[in-house]
Amino acid sequence: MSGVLDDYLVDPEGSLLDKTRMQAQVLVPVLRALRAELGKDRADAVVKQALRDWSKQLFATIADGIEGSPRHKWAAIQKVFGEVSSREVEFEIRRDDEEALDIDVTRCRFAEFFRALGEPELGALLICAADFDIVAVGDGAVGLDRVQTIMQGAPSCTFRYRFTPR
Amino acid sequence: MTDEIAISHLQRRKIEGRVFIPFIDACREKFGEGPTRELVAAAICSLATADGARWADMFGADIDGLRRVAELWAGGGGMEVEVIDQAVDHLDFNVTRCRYAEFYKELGLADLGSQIHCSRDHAMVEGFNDGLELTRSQTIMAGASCCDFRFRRKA
Repeated sequence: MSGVLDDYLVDPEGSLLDKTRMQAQVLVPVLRALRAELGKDRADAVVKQALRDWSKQLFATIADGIEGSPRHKWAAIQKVFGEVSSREVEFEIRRDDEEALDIDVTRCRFAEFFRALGEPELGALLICAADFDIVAVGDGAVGLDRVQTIMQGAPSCTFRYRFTPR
Repeated sequence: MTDEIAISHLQRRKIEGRVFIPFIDACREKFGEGPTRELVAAAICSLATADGARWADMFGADIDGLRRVAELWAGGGGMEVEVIDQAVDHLDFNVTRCRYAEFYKELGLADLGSQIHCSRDHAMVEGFNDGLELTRSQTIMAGASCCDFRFRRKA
């Protein structure tokens, strides 16, 4: 099961936070140059579209390489992504059963990094959006509702996963 | 939380590239080749100059230090290097295998590799020691059989 994200993670043992920081380090100068050229709103819209397309495509391609049902593909990716990302957060599991998984993240080092950098929207695109792209792999078998995130400035991220009966 | 994790330079460039390459590719589709090239060149130059200054601090801002930089690039199997000649005022080496180029070529984006990766080296030298310069007539990324790095103390 592990290994499904090896190509994306490059070095599966390394910290996802360190990797994301490296990625931000090269993206931010280009992002800021784009804003100087196009204005903030247009530049941010371009960046958003490019990074959303990238993230959706990334997890869809990973899913294509996994055998089994959409629910199984989701679980395979979520297991690895959840493990590498959970090292950087503090969380409480509120509910965990066949129908639902409710998690409140109460501290997030990704959010701390991107908020200190003044680029929480970039952080949301690089990290927070992945959760929904991974859910999309489940093709309806898994739903996610998350009304707030620390990256956006809320005190916690409220992950509410719902599973359709098998 | 650490600034430097124990990974090779090749891994670092791959990690950056996982997002940066598709992002720049999307910009090319949106804005066209020329404007994207300008945008990327300025950003890459400033990053590379900063890398050069950091490596000069780590290894010393001289030819010996540049040799250490080349060894850093080669770490983790990133490049196979044949040193032709080294003295106090110059360092000549050929890169005979380049996994950075292989990474871009596997993605079908060797032209982008030249812009994002190879073009860094001249700006890096400026940040490293602006009394030194690099000439390089060919690269593996651009299709040659080797990259001919020739570092010289400026006249």
